[in-house]
Amino acid sequence: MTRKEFLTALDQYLVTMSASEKADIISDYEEHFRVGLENGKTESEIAASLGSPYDVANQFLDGTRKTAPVASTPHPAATVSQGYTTAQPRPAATTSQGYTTAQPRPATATSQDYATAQPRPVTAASQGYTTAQPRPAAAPSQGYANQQGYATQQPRPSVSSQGYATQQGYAAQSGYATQQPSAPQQNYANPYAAHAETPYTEPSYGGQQPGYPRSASSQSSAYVDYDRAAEERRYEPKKQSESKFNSTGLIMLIVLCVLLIPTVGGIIVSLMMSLYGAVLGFATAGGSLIAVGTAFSAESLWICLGLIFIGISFLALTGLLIMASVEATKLVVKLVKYCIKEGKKLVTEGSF
Amino acid sequence: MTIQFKKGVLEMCVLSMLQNGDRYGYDVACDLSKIMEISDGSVYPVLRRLKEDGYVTSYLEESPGGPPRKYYVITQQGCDYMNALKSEWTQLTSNINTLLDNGGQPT
Repeated sequence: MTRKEFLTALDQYLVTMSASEKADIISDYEEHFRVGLENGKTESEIAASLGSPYDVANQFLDGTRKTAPVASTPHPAATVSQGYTTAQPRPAATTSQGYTTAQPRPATATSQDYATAQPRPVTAASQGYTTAQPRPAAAPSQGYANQQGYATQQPRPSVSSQGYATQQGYAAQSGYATQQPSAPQQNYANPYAAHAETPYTEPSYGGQQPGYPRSASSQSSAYVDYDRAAEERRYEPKKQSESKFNSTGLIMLIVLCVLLIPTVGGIIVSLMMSLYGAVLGFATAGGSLIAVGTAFSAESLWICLGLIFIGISFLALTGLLIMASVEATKLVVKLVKYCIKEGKKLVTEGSF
Repeated sequence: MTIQFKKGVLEMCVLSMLQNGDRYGYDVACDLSKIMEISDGSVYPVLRRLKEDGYVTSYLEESPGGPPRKYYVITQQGCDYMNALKSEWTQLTSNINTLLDNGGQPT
């Protein structure tokens, strides 16, 4: 990976950061490359020692609870508000409960957890979300507080796995799963801390549910792994196609060179032969006519006519050969042009 | 080793290096990768976090024949934090060493 590729990829993955933060981070890595080059390293060596831009970006975003887009194309929706936007479009029947965010949760779990939940008016859903912030985690009726409840690992063994799945779904979006796929339980304290810092009035409850259907932990980590693999592959196909193209071009060039020599040679030789034949025929015929003129006889006349016929045949053959040569030359010119074009490509790409 | 723990250790190491004098990122990354297996790219997120937490600050200094480099410098707050981390670390490692020396028997 070159310096430019690394910085571009990093810039892309830092999409959720503000422009100034991003510029600051990029400048640090630019400096790193600069110093590395001064120390005699190559761009690819430096890039390799820095690690993958995706991992680097996630380490930055980890602290801010934002995430690098898991897809290879950046999508601006991957912001901190994601986790909370999911609550908004939910049906009224469940709005009063914090667990409305937990899409895959079965009814039993809901009743269990919400045994303590106060019956709430439908409109309380948005309130729950906006007012959840200042409340302690001990208020289980709060939609958001319930998430916090999970975060603080309250003993709820029967639902913990589901709570985990929910958290994990969120964690996958926040880039957390990529960081600690093996120790997810320990993550809880962090999302909690991050939630506490996050201004909850800020998220626009736009009703978007990007990526939310990923609920099971295995699914979400698989998803993330897949995307990481996809991210790594982004640089592979390019190389492959380049090398494939180059070998094809090379073979084509060789074949053309081999074909070109006999073709051109054949055209020249056949032209010369036919011209020579025609000249010979006419010369002989002319000579014969002179001979006939000087010593006229029936035999010599026939010989003379025969020679003229041979000369005309040669001439006709010459015409045909010239026409064929013209066509062949046209073809050769075409081939040479193509050859030059492809050859130029190969040279400019530097992999010839 | 969890990421959290590793992060803490990383921060401690970086702060320790900065206590010895101001350094620029590349320098820190080079030395850090000598003592533990991390990619150089991981150093900048650590430095950024430390900066956000007020444990380090940075300034630009001209470099011979090139654009200025960003030097990181530890703050008083960073020194205090570093000392706290260090005593925790010393305590932990001595406990672990004792455990290992005793063949798994906690004293």
